[in-house]
Amino acid sequence: MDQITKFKQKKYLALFVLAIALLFFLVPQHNALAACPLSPTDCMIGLINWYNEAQLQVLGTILVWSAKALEAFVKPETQAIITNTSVVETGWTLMRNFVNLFFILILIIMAFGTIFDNPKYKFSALLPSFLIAAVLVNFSLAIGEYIVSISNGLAAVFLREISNFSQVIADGFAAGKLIPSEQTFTGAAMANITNGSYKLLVNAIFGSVFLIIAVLAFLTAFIFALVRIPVLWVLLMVSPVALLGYALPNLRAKTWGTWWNMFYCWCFFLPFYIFFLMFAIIFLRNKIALSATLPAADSFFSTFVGPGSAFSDLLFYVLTMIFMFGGLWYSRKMACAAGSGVGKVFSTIESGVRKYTPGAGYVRSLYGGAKEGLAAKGKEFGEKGVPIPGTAFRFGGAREERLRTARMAEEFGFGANVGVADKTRAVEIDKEMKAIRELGLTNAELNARMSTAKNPIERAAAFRLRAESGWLDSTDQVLSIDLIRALGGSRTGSGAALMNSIKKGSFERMFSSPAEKETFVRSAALNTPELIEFKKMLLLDMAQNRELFDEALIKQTLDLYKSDTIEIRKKVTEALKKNISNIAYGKSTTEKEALLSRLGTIDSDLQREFATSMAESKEIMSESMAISILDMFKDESTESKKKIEEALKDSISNFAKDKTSREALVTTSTDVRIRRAAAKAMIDKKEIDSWKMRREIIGLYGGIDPTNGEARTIEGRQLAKDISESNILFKEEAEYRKDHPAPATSHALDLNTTQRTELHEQILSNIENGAITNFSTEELKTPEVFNALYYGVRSGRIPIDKFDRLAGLKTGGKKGGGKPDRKKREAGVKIADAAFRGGSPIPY
Amino acid sequence: MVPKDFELSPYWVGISDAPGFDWEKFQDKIDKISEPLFFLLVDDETSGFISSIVQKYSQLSSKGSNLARLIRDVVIGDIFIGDLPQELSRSTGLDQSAAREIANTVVSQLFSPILDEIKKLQSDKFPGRATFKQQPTSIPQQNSHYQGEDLPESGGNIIDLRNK
Repeated sequence: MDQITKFKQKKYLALFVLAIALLFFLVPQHNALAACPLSPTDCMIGLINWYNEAQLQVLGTILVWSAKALEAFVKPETQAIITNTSVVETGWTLMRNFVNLFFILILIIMAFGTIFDNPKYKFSALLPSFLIAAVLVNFSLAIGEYIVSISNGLAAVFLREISNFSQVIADGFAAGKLIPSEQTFTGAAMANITNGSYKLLVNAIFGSVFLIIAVLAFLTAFIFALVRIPVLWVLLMVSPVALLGYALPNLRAKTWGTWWNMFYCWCFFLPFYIFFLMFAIIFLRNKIALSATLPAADSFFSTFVGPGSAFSDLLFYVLTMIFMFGGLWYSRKMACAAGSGVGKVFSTIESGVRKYTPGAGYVRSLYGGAKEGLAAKGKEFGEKGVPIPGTAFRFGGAREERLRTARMAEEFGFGANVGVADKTRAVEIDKEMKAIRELGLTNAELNARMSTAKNPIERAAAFRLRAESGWLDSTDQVLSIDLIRALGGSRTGSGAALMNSIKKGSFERMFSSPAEKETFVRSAALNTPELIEFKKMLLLDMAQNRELFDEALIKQTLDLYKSDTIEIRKKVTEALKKNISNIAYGKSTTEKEALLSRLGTIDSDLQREFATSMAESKEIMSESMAISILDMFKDESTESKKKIEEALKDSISNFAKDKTSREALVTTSTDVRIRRAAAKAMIDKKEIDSWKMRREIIGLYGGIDPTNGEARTIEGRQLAKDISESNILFKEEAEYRKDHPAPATSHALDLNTTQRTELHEQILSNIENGAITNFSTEELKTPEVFNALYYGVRSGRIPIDKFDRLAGLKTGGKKGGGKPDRKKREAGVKIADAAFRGGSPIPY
Repeated sequence: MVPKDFELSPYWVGISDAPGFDWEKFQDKIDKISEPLFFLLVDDETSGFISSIVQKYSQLSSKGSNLARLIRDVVIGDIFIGDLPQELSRSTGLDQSAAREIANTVVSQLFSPILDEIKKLQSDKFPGRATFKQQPTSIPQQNSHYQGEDLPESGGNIIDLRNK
């Protein structure tokens, strides 16, 4: 902008210099005049002269009248009309009375500002401006009139200096003064008329320009002076409103600031302009004296710039124009600058009032002291709204505003803002929770807070805190339903959050027993869409805590979760598995088998879990049941299959009650899985007492290498190891076979009778030399061991104390090692009985 | 032929008996007695104690198994401990005083470490007959005089365990 202005200024300067230069070269020659119509040049000159006179006549008249009108309006008598009009006083009184009503409103605004801790509207910030405004409003007319009087008085001072200035203007711009008269173009001057005719033309044009500018300047000044009066009337009438704005920071700029700017602009424009006009008039009055200061006539310039020359006239006109027209612009600028200065002055006054007014310090300190106490309450009111006494509602508050906005956004968003309201509510509850948590309230305090809560958000927040702290008790059961429902249930974020809080705090105190929880979860109230997720949550919690005792509830849980993700369903199933034993509790084996069958229709995972549980509890009572359970796992992983086979082996004894039956299962069962399970059961019982049986079992796991007797698979080798460790007979047989290699002994064949006799002799020798000190029950039953003891006891090669130890009647040779089990005692008795009461050894 | 040590073991005694001893029932009873009582039956020291009694009383030289059998029966609760002298006398032909002396020795020496267990078992098995005083200690007193012989209710056949 500055560059543009500079450019324009340079342009005007260039034009001005050009005009001066033209005047130097184109001024008319006074001695070149001839008679028209004989000479065309004379005619041209005559025409120009006529034009000059005509324009001077017309524009000069307008100029003079403008000046006279301006003079009439700027006279103090005329301007006095501004303040001496009853319309202004009547209008101002009305406005003042109206505005005074607003001071009550401002006091309320200050109260709210203080409560809400709004720095702009709080008590301490607003009080000084409020007091100033209260005074100014009621004295606004007097103040305004006084300022108008000052401006008018100032204008009168300048006017006195240029009294009757319209006459001076009229004289100064009188016709013929600008352009030399035809009488001056006589004699020798006419010789150069041909050269000077064009100069006259240009001179006429410039004369027109200057006159037009002068007319415009005066007309503008006149219009300003004319309009100034009604504008100041209006400004004075509305002054109470403008000054009231000073008390309100947000309105101050638009009311107070604007009014003062306008008021000063319109008030002081006039004296400033008259000041510049005064200079113009002074120039015009003294133009001759000024022209006399120019160079003497005998110089080269005398023709153009000597006293009375065109240039001297022109110079006066230009200077006058500058003051008149430039004065207009500059006056307005200066007057308006004064307006902004007023604002600054009042700011300073306000600061002073705030600082030095008696009692202000006390007010400040009082406010400062109350500030902290009020800040919290103010913050609360600001955020939550002001509670309406006697009701459960609050008025206003940022939170309510946010919620309302969100609700509106959702309602009128045409689907674009679905869930916004709920999300906002959830956020607000979280905020409220955070705020309450910081207070560290007890359960009782939170309860009290709930009962006095002004809205669902405060209530939900307090309830959630209690829930998360595990403080909910049985009295909260119904309340939890009501609150979840009030928040929209599981379909809303806030409802879901509430449910999660309840879950987080566990239902431990909420339900005194699993039975109470079960009754609650069965209530019809939970079957509504809002609460169904809560029901699911409860059921899962019960499942995880092994609190489901009803098959129907397990089925219901699975049904409710069937639409959830695979991960969640998996989690639910895992939890439900823990409850299978609850359902089976107290049921007979037959009932359990029926339950197992029913579970197949509910969930195959649960069925498998129950099957495993039954197997581990040794409750599989028949081979067919064992096979059906194994079938349940046929599509499962190898690991699961192995696990169930392992579990089933403990139930083998239920339907293969003795060693012979188990051996029969291992060798003759149609299901290889049952054979394996039976084999493992036998290994566990250390019942594998023959090389033949060993071969049979290892055959189930990849077979045996006949050349070295080793199993072909890793699992087979492990079993072979278990067998050899489980029964001392295999160690002894292995040693025997080692000492008697093939072809005497082949791994593919059992030992013959002679070899087995030699084997029990080997065992007896090892008993005698202390290499064998103890036998297991099953070992005592194996023919070679039985016979070794039989012959040893009978022959006296095994004394009673050694026999007692071998039979496990004594442990470590001392008392206290535990009473041997019945089977072992019976095995020992059988040997002794056979040995001493005419019994026989076991035939090979 | 059964080795002698088997014959003098309260656990194994009777292993060579003709049909009559029910091993199944015996094992049932073994299941019910406490560990200390069981170990008394199978302990080498028990056999040694019986052997020393047999050596001390020549009348028992061939009837050691009878004493072992009686001890077994007392321990498993088949006979009342107060009947031990009478039963000993009856089965071995010993006079009453020797039988009482042997019985007293058995109670005071062999049974002393497990006297509480014996009392408990006997009280359970023979609630009407066993009237044992509860003693703060079970330390046996080595009395040469058999106190029970003077008690009117004993009839000279009752071993008074109240002071044992």
